[in-house]
Amino acid sequence: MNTRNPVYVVLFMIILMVLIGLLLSIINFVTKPTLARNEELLKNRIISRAFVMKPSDESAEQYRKLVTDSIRLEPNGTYLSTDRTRVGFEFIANGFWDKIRGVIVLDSSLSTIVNIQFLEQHETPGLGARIEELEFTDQFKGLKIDKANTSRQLIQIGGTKIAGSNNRVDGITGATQTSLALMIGLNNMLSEKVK
Amino acid sequence: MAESTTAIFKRSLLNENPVLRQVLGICSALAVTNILTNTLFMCAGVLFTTAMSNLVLSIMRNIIPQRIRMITQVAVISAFVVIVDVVIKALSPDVHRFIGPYVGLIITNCIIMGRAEAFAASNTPLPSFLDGVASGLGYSLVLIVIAVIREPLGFGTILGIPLPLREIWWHQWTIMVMPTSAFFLLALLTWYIRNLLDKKKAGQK
Repeated sequence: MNTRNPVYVVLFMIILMVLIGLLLSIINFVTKPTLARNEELLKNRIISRAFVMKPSDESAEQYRKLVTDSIRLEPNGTYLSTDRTRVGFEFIANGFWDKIRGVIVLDSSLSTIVNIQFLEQHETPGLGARIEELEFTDQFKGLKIDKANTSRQLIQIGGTKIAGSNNRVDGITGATQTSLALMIGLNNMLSEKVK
Repeated sequence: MAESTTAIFKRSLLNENPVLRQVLGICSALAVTNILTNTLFMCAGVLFTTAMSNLVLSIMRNIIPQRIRMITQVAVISAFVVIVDVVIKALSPDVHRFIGPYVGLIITNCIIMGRAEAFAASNTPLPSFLDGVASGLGYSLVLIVIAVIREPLGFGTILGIPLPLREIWWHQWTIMVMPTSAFFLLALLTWYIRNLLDKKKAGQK
């Protein structure tokens, strides 16, 4: 066949694109239910971890059961544990690259953080993306929110520790912008909910 | 005359290493090597994509019109990148959360296009597949060496596991966290290996 023929070139391109499109559509169709299940499991797992609750096993069914039995989503978008000891709020921060979405859970007095977990982030892998790691999120457990002093941030991420404060966690080395963006996003949300 | 399997691997792993000798795939070598786990996933993705796209493009080499050969290469490579992305997302969403951004970057790795153009376009399928594997391995070797230096010095961990007794002796070397350190390390490694290979060549003459 004459591969220089313009008709052949156009036909080749069309057929190639149709075949590739078909292949990827089939793969997408076949994996769609699995991806939807994974998405649901991931969200339930994140919410459970934010509330520091563990199911009896790691199956999707148990996580779904835990979230539906022990945590209620209120009409105003707040998560509330059924024993009313913990309250969860979704937050959105304008991260370095894109939105950072997560859930922060406080005690019923809204003065201490129980935990923080992330639903979505697109920060630099190995740098800002490390906000998801336990080493970073565990710092928030038991952190006090400084409601008393209105001139300071409710919580502080990175930066110099102010003497006498107990509302600061370390930022991530090399990810100053992500740490700052997260701090601003959390403080904005918290100042609406807890003050 | 077709190259032997040994010759293909020897060429891509050392003598014509894609990163150190051909200076291809530098971007990801700088970006992902601050953490070894991320590096390993990136290497696996590049190895699979290079090998499979080399195989497919070699099979198609006689029917691809010359005018659109690069477009065809990009289309085939992109298809494999999407397959890698979807398969990881379906099989292991936890892994995908960390390496998702890297997977999309595989298509920008010039090694894959480079080997498709330099080898798969004019060789039979099996040697092309092996060349893809060898190039992926050559790339992986360099990245792993850099990551093994950067992660312990930058984060005090290796594969996420803290170094023994690091509270006592370890101090963070912040620059190792940044891509800047990869520039220096890659340059030093390139210098060393090229020197070694040139001396070896001079010794053989």
